[in-house]
Amino acid sequence: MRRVVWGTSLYSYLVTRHTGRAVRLSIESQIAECEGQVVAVLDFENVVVIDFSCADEVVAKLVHLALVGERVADLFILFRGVGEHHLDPIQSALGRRAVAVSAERSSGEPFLLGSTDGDIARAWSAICLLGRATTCGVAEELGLSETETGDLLEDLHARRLLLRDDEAEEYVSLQQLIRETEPPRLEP
Amino acid sequence: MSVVVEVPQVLDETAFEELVATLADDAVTGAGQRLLFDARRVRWASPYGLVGLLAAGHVARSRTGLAPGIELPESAEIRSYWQRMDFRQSAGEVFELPPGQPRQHGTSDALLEITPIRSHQDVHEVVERVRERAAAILERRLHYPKPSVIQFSVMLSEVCQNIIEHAETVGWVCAQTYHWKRRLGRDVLVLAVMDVGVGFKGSLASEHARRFGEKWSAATALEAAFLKGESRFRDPGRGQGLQAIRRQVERWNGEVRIRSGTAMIARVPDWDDIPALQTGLPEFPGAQILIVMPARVEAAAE
Repeated sequence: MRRVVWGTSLYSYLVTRHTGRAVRLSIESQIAECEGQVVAVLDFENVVVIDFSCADEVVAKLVHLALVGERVADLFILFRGVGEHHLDPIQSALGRRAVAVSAERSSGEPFLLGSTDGDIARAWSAICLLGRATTCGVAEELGLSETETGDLLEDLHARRLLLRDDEAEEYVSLQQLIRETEPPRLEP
Repeated sequence: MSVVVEVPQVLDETAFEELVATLADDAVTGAGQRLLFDARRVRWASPYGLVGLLAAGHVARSRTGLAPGIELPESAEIRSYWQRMDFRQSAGEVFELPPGQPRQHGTSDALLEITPIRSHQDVHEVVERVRERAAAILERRLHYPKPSVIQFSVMLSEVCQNIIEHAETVGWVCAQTYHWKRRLGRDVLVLAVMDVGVGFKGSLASEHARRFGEKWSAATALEAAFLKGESRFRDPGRGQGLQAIRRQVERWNGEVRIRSGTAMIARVPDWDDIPALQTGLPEFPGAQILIVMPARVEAAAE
């Protein structure tokens, strides 16, 4: 399957629901033009302020779209450059919709944002550490059975928090996929 | 012949309630009645008092059908302060002002002069404009940690959006810092945001009134929005703003009061003793929000 890594830097002032809606619709329309599996990288490095309303419109609704979208059936999202000052609005918005997203801090350290439980978070961290791995490999890392680990990995895939490489029979972290493909095209 | 509405000498939240009580009298605000707000003896005004005077004037105008007159403060010092707070610019759309053009003034020491909020663009401009001043005031004067500047910007954005999302009319925002010698013995930042729109009861009615039945009131609407994060939309992403403001102000040990219709709800800090919920107040349209952020004592002592 064709995979596309698409990226954009977000505005400095992500305030008001109105602005959030405009930003989201622009991102949605650009993603809709991509074919196949899309990994969308949203860069928060230059975002000075994001408020709760805008976080809901941009962040939570895009993540929700990745889960239920009809036109964008195979969308995965990664937030980059997430700072401490972004966390409260983003966590709140994702929590309200009971969704989660893969993220990287400004330092590059991966972390999960939003609504997750302990086992899910551990399995996600294992995949981030390994980059790509079989169920067996992740099970060893976690100290769980293959069945339990398989369920967790499938859950993570269903939540669009990792990719499944059916040919290689491996699961792949979003960060790893980006490393393996071209660097994201950053648009102004 | 005009009906004179006396503006109290200390124009603050208490004075605003006095103005509201006066306007609740049908004999005062009957159709065709010309009102004159007499502010000549005002000797002190808070941000809440200043935008409250605009809101009161706006309501008087809509009830009587005539632009009310206003007598500005006699004190040159107070007039100068009102000038610096851009009172005249907004008052021109509410009152029939005495002749005279607003004078150009340099940068005031206010965090935010009286600013009308009509659109999302206004919210953007306010948030971007206050950033540098907020940094100076919050860090140096109130001894808040660095991240508080962003948190204040987020709070300002949410509280101003409340006007656009729910009021469906113009509103005003104003913020100032001063020393509360008697009340607290500390510096405080006071943020006032007001509109004269549909209010919380009106905004939430279509989605929540039926559930509450006869208990539906301004107070239940305020509780639903402020304490439970409910909004007029079924969308679970809505209604975060006020709750976020409440949480943030709580972290700063500050106070939030929201007056709407005939009720007022508050997050009361340990340094104040106002009731958390007041009902049976004189009816006033829209929502009037007061946020007080006191200086950090422990940080100042370090």
